[in-house]
Amino acid sequence: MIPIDLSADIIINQLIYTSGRGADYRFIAKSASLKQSILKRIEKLALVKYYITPDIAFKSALRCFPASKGLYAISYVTIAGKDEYNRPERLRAHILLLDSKLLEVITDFRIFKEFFIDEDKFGELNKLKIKKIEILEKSTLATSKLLERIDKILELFTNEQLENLLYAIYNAIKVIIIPSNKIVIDSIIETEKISSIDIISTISMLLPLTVREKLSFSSFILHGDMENINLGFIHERGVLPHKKSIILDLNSGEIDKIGINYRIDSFTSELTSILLDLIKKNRFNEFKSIISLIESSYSLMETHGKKGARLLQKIIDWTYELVRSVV
Amino acid sequence: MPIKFLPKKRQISIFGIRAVGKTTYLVMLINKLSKMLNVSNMHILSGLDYYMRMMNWILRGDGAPPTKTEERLLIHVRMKVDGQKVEVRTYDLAGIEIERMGDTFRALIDVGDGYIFLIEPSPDPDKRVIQVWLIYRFIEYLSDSFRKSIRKPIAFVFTKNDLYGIKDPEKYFWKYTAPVFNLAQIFKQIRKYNFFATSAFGGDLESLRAQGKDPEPVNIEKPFFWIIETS
Repeated sequence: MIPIDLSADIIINQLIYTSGRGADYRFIAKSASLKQSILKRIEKLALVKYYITPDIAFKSALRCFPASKGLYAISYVTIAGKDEYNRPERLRAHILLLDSKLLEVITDFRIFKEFFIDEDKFGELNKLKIKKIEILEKSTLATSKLLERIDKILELFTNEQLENLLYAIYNAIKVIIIPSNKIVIDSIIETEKISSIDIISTISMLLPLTVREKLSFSSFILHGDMENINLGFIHERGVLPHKKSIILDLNSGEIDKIGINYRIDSFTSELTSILLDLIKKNRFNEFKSIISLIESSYSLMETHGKKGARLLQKIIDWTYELVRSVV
Repeated sequence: MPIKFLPKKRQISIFGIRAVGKTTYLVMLINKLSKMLNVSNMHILSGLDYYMRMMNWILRGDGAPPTKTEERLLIHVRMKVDGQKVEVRTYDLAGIEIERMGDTFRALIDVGDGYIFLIEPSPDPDKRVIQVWLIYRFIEYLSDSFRKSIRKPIAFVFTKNDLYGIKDPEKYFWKYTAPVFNLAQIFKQIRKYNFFATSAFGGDLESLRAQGKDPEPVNIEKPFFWIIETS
């Protein structure tokens, strides 16, 4: 849980990763020195893989991924122009590093948009200091905006696609989404249209914190196999994956399993069905309770193992008996 | 029964520092081979999309963009050269990964049956030193710290020759590298090496475009054929 002192500041480290001015892709600015393992991980995931050719109207992308245990990275990717050799398509990533616990209250990372940097800055950066209350307010507003459109957003998927999506995320299978022309993927700036980042943020709401902390995604991708993420929206000029992944085509409603075979388990199937039913009936509090129940179960199992599992079973039996006796 | 000749399969690794022109060399080599009379039945088995994207930039007069770290791009081509089947795989990596000489650098050396080492004969002292240093480390790794002789062929290739106008690449190689270190000290380890000077576009790309001319590679195929023949 977010600590109670809401007036306190949250400190966020930031970095800029790009090429040019005498060297290849590297960190050109940082607010703190970080472990090599963290920098290596950011280097691997911060940028959109492959080449954004001039016929693609790319403006910006948001890529999020765990940078280490307890640290979650948000990478804001923009085009940085030509380098000193006049080579085109230099990309720039501005990365914010958050305490993973903040994900408990944040589902839409665009709440940081006023802090995103889209110019080259060299050397030392200041750490971001943001009041906890500010994050909480912005996040609440962003969540309520998403909830207003949640019906519309989830309608973009067939029920079967949603089941597969949740199953894949729970089981760490890569999901590549082919968007329909109703969806904007080449910019994270809010538009009237639904964007890939609207969809990702909405899907995040369907997931418990334990899963979200491990989730890596990109609002825009170009190469299905090169991208080592859980979830990404592929541009129409992109290269579809040939290795272990599932492709959800939002134009045709098709699901394509590449190099993988599975059957949806009853848990995922029933969970999707109940969540969709509650969303349809605008019963968001119950919907949130289910997510938090899954989270608590995870946590209990993680801390108490088999003992925790037995307790969970007992809680279910006891609740069932209680409800039955009252009814 | 007709005799089937198995294709000669070769992995060729391309080395060189940042912005030396690795991607450009690779893409324009494919372009050149596709237009040669003695090359037939040329099929790009892997990397067609990558090749086309690069050509998009090149024909716009921009040149290839910088390769990102952690991207390993493969081009796999099958063709007949003078009637003989040849299959070639080449890899393109970010210059920084080569300069770092880490796992990727070593992996690229290990998979190679022959090597194309690109050098830009730039007067910039930083570039000059790092290129000599990289050649030294490359030979050191290949020869297991100078304990073994190197049997795989290495082509040392000057790039951007439309700019530098090198006539005798071998002579120029020693002239260019000796002020940093006399590499002859370690070249004894290499059994087969050769020197070339090439130009991927045959001129400045922007000027060519302004004149309505298409890029025309010069000598770009020579190191490639030399490696195919000698490996």
